[in-house]
Amino acid sequence: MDTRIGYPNEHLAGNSDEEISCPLYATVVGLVMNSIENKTQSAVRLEKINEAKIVRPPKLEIIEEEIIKDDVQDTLTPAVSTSNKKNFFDLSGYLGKIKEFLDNAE
Amino acid sequence: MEKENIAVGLDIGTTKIVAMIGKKNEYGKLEILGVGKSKSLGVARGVVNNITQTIQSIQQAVLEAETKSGYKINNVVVGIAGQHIRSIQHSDYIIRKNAEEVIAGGDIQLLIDQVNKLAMLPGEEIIHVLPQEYKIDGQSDIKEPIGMYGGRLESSFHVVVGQASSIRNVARCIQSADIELSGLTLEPLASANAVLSQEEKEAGVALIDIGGGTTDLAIFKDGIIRHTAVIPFGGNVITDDIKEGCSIIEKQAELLKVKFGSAWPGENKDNEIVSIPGLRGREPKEISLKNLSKIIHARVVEIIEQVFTEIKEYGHDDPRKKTNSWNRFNGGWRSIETHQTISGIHYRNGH
Repeated sequence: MDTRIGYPNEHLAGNSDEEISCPLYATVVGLVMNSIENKTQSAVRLEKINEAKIVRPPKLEIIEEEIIKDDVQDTLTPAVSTSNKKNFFDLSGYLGKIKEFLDNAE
Repeated sequence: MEKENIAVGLDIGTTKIVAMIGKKNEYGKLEILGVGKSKSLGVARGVVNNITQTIQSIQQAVLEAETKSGYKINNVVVGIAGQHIRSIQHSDYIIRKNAEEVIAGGDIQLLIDQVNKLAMLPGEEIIHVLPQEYKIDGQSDIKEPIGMYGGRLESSFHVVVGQASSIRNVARCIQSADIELSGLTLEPLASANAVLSQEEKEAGVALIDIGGGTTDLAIFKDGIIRHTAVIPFGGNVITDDIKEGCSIIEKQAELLKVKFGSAWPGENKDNEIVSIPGLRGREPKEISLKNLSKIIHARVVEIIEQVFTEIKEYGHDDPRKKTNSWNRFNGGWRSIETHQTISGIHYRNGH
């Protein structure tokens, strides 16, 4: 009766590693093929997970800046009605604080 | 984030645990992204017997595959083997309520679900229900019933049954390694998927996987799985034989087998001798290769004979079931040379 050694290269892509088409890996190649039939995403790119983590901090900073800007506008509007000089003085002090805060934050 | 169909397989073998990440490329072929391999410590004859060691080995293999591919594994399809696996033939039918409608996928699912509820021995669980040939209103040998008219849908099934506790142990090991289990597959079926072509399955073929702890068998005919079996002997039994026969330690026995092993004593001359360093300053041991081959030969013949008994049991001589070729490969042996000589025996014994 005919016999042959079964290499799992039947369904492998042409550029696959020689090592993988060794009979040692036949079972695991079959399992991967079964996993493909499930049509689920069984693994996620590591870079994507890392990206997702990196993206968060700058987002937070933007929100903080917006809040600060709002604060500045708030202080500006009531100040106009009273004294311009005093208001300017206050504002520069405020701006200094904001700068300090941003520097610290960075 | 675009969705990629990334697949992961995990083979928990007796000698090694392999994790593999792959995806389908544009030509429908399998592209391998990363492989991780580790020595399997807590598995004997295809069954987990040390949970902690198995978890460690799984984690090691998974980590290696992850670093090589740059992917993070979420869930895996795992292979299952072991002596506790048995397969039975079963026939079942459903009466369809509306015979005026054509048979759809739902009807077949209903039939499969019905077989899944089959009463098993206590402690057993159904792993696979594989439909073979369908019979519609007495018309037999139908391979594709979908789209046909008929009231009574009958089918023969190949049901693979395993011990629930063994399956649960495997599942626990995987969950403890922080991975989800997405599916279970019988190892001979997985190997057959990877190794055999559709033409071979049609013509009739037997696949034999001589692994470290078990020898798996799967028989196909007319493109359908006909028989599966797991025999609890493999390469490790041979290593044990060499260990006992030459009174050396296991590590040396394994090395001897892989480097010098042959299953056909006729190829070795009497004066070929390997010297093995003695333990704790004892005299080195001299082992003749002819003797080594004789030890291997005896065990290999035993394994092949068991496989052949299993094939005969299936009904190899029956012309309707006749298989045209055998197909074999080995997992835990790591030696092509050994392997080819085994095939040699196979011819000479005239099986």
